[in-house]
Amino acid sequence: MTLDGLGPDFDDFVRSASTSLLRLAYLLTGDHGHAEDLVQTALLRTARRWPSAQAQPEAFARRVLTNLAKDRWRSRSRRPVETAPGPEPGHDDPNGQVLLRRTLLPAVLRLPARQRAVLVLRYFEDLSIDETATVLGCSAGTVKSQTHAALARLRDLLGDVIPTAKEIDHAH
Amino acid sequence: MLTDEQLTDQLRLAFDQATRDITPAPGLGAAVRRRHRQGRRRAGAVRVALPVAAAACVGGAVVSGGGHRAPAPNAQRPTPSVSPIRPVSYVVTVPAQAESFSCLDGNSVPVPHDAATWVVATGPDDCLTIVVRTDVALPGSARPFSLAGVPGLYETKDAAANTRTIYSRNADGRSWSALTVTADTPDAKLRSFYAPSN
Repeated sequence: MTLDGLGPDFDDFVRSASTSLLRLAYLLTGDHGHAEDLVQTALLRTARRWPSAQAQPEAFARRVLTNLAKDRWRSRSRRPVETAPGPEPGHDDPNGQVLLRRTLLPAVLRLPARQRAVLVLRYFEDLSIDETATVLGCSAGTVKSQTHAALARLRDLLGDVIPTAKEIDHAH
Repeated sequence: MLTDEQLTDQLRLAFDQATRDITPAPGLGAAVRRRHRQGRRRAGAVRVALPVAAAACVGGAVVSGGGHRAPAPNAQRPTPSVSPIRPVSYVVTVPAQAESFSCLDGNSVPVPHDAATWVVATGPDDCLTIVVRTDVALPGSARPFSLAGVPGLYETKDAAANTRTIYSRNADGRSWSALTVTADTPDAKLRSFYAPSN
């Protein structure tokens, strides 16, 4: 144990978890700078609760981070978000899949905070419905309904960019 | 129309592509430890300082949480990495000649219950009434406000109350302090209230 009350386990945790936390924060905020700021704050809160958080520190930090992102989203909901450029569509993209991926992230960033969080936790973090519900502090049913609503909203936002299922299958 | 499974497959690919080059800055753990140590020291200092602060209110006092926010690591990093963001934060200070004022004209400046109201002497025959709240959320309607030498401020205006409110980030990096003055208060008079805390 060191003078700040944190043992070497905390360093190990930061080393192993900071990349995934930063990527999660980026997808939740759409902004590199704020993502790093949120991660630092989430890690700091984890450090403050280390005696109780160290059993599952990444789950604890992920939950703090998600809540911070939701708070930030509320206070900045009227301001534009930074979006990362995706790959440029090229001649080898006859079915528009690259274009689809390029437009997906900006569309996700336009979703309401909870819908966005549900998509990112389930399809980036690969959390189960129950795990996602735990992180967001809601029921499994809410996660399911928010997922359904988010996917429907994404389809609306993407419009004509979405290729048909047949085109996707054909490309594979 | 894509099936849900196909759309979520595309989502996974889009998420992976968008984040594959994002890596944390070196020294993140050290920066967190540093902030953690400073927070523990500050918590100890607050326990000692609270009785002193109560006495200091007679002649003026620091009215917002102070302390330092550890800078994000700024060591050289591989590209394309994340730029360190260090939101500037301030302590809103009231000069020593200020007095807590109990007979404020309620028609000119509305006073919330959690506000501290001060009258500050800004010249031989000139006083300025300010209302300071130290733990508020930044309103969605706030707009960036440019004050020379004090970056990172936001402002809202209330035409009905004839006031302007300036928001500065507190040292904790999350909460904000709000300084409300009459709408015609010159910017130059506002600058002296802000002391950087990081």
